[in-house]
Amino acid sequence: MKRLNMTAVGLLALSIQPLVSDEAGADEVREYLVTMTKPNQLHLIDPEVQEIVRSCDVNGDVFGPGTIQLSPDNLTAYVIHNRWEEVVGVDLTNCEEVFRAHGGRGNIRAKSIASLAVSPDGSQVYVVWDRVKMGLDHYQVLEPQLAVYETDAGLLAEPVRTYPAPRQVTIMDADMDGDLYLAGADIYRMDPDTGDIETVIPNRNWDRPEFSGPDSLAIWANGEVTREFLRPYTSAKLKDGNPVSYHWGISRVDLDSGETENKEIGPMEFIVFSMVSDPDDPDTIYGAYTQLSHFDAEKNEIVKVLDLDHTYYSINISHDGETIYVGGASADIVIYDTDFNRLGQIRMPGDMSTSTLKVARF
Amino acid sequence: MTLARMQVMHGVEVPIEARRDIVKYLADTQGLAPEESAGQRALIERRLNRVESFDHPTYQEMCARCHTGGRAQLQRRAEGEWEYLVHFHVGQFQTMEYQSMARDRDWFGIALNEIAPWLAETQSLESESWDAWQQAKHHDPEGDWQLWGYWPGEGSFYADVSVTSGEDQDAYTLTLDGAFTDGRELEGDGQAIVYTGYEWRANLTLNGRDFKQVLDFSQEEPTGRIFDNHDDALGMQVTMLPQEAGEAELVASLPASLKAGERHRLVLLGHGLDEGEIYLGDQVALHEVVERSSHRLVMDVEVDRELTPGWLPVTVGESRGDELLAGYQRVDRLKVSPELGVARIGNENTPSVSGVFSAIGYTQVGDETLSLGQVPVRWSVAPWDDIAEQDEDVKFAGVMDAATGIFSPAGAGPNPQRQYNANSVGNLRVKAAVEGQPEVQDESQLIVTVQRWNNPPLR
Repeated sequence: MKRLNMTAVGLLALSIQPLVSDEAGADEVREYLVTMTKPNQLHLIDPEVQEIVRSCDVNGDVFGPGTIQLSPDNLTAYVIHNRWEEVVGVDLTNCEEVFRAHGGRGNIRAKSIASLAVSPDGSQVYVVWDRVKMGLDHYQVLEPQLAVYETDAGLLAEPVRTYPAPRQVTIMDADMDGDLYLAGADIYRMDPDTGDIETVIPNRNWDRPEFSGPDSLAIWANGEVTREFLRPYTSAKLKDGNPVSYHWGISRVDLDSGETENKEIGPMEFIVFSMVSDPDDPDTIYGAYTQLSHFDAEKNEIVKVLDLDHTYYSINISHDGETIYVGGASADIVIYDTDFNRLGQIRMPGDMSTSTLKVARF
Repeated sequence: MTLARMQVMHGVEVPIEARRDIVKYLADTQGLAPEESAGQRALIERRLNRVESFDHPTYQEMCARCHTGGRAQLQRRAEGEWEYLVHFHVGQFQTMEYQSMARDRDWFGIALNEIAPWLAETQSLESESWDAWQQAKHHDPEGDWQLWGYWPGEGSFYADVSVTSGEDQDAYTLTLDGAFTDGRELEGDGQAIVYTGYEWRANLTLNGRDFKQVLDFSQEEPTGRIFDNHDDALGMQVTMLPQEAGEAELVASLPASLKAGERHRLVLLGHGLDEGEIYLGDQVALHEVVERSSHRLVMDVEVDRELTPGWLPVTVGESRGDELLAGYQRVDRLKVSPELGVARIGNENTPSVSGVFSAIGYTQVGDETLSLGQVPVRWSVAPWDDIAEQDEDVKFAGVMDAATGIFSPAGAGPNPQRQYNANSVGNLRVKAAVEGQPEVQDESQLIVTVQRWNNPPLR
């Protein structure tokens, strides 16, 4: 791995890095953004000065999908990379590659559709692999597996345990007790020590005759600031079996307490790809796509909507709840305050596409 | 397509000649009988802007949300092989289960347990029609034909087609010599291979432009389509007729109608047309016979200003075409097709797909509605709705040719001049108004959307 990227952006980052450190002071905890751009760069970004601090080339030239989870100390970023087939751990302080696991074996190809989590003590990484056995004249789809890796297993990491996992699982996260939450047809909780799995929030299988089944595309796990595992959904309210109104809703797990909830948060008037709540007020929810939106989940209404310059996929929020970060899709991150006043824009050297926009603090 | 996939995705190296031989062998020995492909001729001919329907509650959502449902309807497999196809889909396209209309259901389970058995039942590997077709005598393409059709933007045309056998099995060369009905010449040549005894596939050059041709040679009068391989929308439905036939008959008229007071060329196609009196009714004057042979009559005619609308009593010798050629004073109704068209923005790597519209005129004679064929109209586009107006779709999405009804989409990619940096897509109202009768109009919808990235021959 190349330790430091020597692009113009990288050089600029190098030149400002000491300045940032001096200003911040050696002991002060700073907030950073972490994301990936095509084809293979992982970036550490200082949102305050709106500059890239460090760009790490991640081995493997093929982007995809750029799903990121952080170690509990936020110093290591784990990314799904290289055609969705590898998980790579990168030290954000020096770009060193500290972990790598390839999901496939022999003629079994494995891809992870954004299913990545780290244990609360940072010792384990969890991945759901969708697997297919590729024969000479036909394929055989295999049952997905939850693979457990030790984070100190190095660059040829093998799982220490695997368990059967449901199909169609995307985002995943771990709570304080180490239980895993998986977003599939329903929201499941899995014990990664035993593989025992239970449904904690029924979605496809909910018993709500007054609502249609929900639809959800959730591939951005961004609850590290708010300590929540949140999946947005859309659903139609029904009367006599026919839709009368369309709604945004959330399925949510509190990652500190393990409490769950599922509720509508406002009318569906536009598309939202990812949502994040205010860390101080779980019913204040912000969403991003072609609009930046603010939902009041308690009142079940839209508070504010702002048209963005273009489409963005991935939203996150600062630890103080004052600043909203919007990235993904194209090649710039925009920054807003909670009244949607624009605070800045950070140009990226490539498209972020489906990458997660994470908020780190160290 | 399976062979192409083996090459593109799995690195199988097959020389082009061997590939052709393999495809030919498989088509000839494991192909589809004419009855089995009959329902999907439009797909094979790459006709666009069709709405499919199937006798299954979820087949469209499960399968035909990504590609045509017809694609699977052109396959025959045993149940185990249909199951392999399901496994292939999930294994090859691993995000497929997560897409809209898949992530809200157990796609893999439904595909295996509901769709595969239904396909195995309705499209089983063995069929009586295939057994019968293998015993049947096939039509020989070699010989002299005449062909006609309508070339969008150019007009109606006819041509003599001479087909001769090539060196390889079922390979042919052909030459075309003809004209548009306005008198401009049409020349071309090409090479063809016939698969499965009736599936004619040709590369043609017509007036210097390259085309593909698909014909169904299981019919006495083969029909099919000539189209631009880089822009499927630009194509023409064609009919071929043997030049020699036992009985005299009138088969087609180009154009299909004549307007009162106008003078132009009229082309009659059929057999045994080289002898006998030509009569088009008392109100159509024959100024000159431009060309006359057994299979074609080209004439310079003029229609009386006081023409009584109705079918013209077209007579050549003993042959009569009672409902072949309509005479009209005015167009009473116009019908634009397609009702919903989809065009695609493009660039060099993914060429644009045009919007190609046509307008058929009708005139009312008493209780009878006479089709006039394509009539001269002026074309324009307008915003389909308020959103399209606000987004200035008419300005950004492309250009409609007022004379031909061909819409040329704009270039692909984000457009910095648009809100949200949006692509130059659009939702347009396509309007046609009859020339000289602007009050007679019809309209349809044109969605101008983004490129398709995966463009196999059968979509």
